[in-house]
Amino acid sequence: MHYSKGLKAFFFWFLLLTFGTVFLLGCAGKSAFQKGQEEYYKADFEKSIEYFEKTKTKKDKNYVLYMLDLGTAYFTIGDYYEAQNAYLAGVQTMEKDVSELETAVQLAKSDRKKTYTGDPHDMVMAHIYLGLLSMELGDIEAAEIEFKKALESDRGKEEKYEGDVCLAHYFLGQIYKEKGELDNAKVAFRNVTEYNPDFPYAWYELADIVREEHLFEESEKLFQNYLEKDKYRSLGQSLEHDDNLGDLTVVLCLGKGPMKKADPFLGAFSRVTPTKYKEKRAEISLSEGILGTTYQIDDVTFQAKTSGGFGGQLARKTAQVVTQEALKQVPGVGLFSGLLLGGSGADVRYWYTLPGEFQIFRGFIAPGNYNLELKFYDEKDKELKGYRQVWYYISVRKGQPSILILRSMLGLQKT
Amino acid sequence: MQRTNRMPIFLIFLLLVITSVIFYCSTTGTFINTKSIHAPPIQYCNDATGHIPGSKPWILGGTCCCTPSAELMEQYHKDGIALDLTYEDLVRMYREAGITTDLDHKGCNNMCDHGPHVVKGGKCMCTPTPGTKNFEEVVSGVFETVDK
Repeated sequence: MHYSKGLKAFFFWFLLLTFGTVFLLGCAGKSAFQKGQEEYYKADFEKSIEYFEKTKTKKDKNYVLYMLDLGTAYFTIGDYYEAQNAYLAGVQTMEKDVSELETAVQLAKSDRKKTYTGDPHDMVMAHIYLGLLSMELGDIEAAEIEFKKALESDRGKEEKYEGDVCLAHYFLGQIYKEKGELDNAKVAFRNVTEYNPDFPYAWYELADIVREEHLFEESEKLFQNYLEKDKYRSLGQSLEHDDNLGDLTVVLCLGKGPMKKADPFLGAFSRVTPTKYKEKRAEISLSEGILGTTYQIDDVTFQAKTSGGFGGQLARKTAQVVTQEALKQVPGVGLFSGLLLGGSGADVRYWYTLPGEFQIFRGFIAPGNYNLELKFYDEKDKELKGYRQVWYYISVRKGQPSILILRSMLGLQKT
Repeated sequence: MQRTNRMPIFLIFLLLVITSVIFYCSTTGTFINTKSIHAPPIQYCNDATGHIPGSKPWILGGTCCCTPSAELMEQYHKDGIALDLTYEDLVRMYREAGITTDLDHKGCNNMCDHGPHVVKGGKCMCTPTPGTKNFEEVVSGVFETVDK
């Protein structure tokens, strides 16, 4: 079949124009915030921060989200100083009291146009990060305050879900133990064993404290629980302490955090939806051999799903619809109220860079500088090659706990 | 019979195959991290690696980037280093050179205004964060040149 020259030229310019437009729209349509989020999951944290930094001066409705994502990007790259500043800015904005007039305006606006003031679990996670980085900066007092605030902010949708963030309990237990407040430490570790009985290290700590109280039989029972849960037994086969060993904890921020979608039945409400990710655990080894594996301490999606908020969401939504309907009756305003305030669609904004879960490995090992290898496994316990990580010069010292915080991500260590 | 030219169809097919392979690789993780488990030797010590006995303070042209402290000064003296200096002298020397240490602020991973790390040509000697690329580069002294 032959086409005339004119027709061929037409097709050529038509295709060029179509693809060109699509390409340009794709590039130009993304905000600095979205680009920052994209770069974060490409593990290019410097670029991600560059984009997020541009949003810092924009004091718009999404300011809280900008600060939370910026904080996480700084946290991941190890700049705890800037991470702290960003998280604090986010927390302070979430805590800020709005004036009555502002409340009325906010009430009438659609959720998407409203100033994002954070979901309950956003506040919990921001305090968790602040607690972790305070520990890394050696400020135990600040860490204690932050972990306590995380638990106070954890308003569950039912009573049983209130204050069930195990990471906060676990590290509070460690802090109390260091301060010699063994009764408080015992309560904290007991909470972890109740909320997450599969997490082995809390059983160990509990057994250790009970042994200090000379309750040897109970201590032995608790220690058996530890042995059953930790197949690698990285804290040892008995509770006898070897003072020559160092204490290494690896906190692993694993996978992608939950997202929010409009509820398919109640379209005006949002619903927390899990994000799929492949990695389910990490095996940790030195050149000398396998040390152990990471164990889940908190499922962030579960925390988001069970955090309070639906009651508040329902009340806000009802008030919003009533206010919007009332405004429609006002002559001259009614026609434009929808345009000005937006509809009553669901608010699907969320903290994009949150991990899906927090996992912990802990082991007693001889002091020294180690090269640590992390191999990641999927739900079928098959190794994921692209996720492997190697970190050099990890220091373990006698009588001084070392905490290493890492992030799992595909292709994190591009060479 | 006229022979049809199949080259354009073949090229389009090839393009589709290449695009699909690139897309598959980028989404399914065929990337393999080949980083060795054996690290280069420690060239520069800091608070996170622990002090390497016998190493001289950075400000005196050495390889020790540990935060000055009375304890560290004692160690230097034991090793016969900086015998004529006190802890206060050492802190003053770093401050006069415009170098920030953990005594000024902590946890920046050398990304602050004084960064990068002195090893990389900057003015920040704060302890880098373990488990990061910057930490490994500072300790090993192996890094790409940073423009500052």
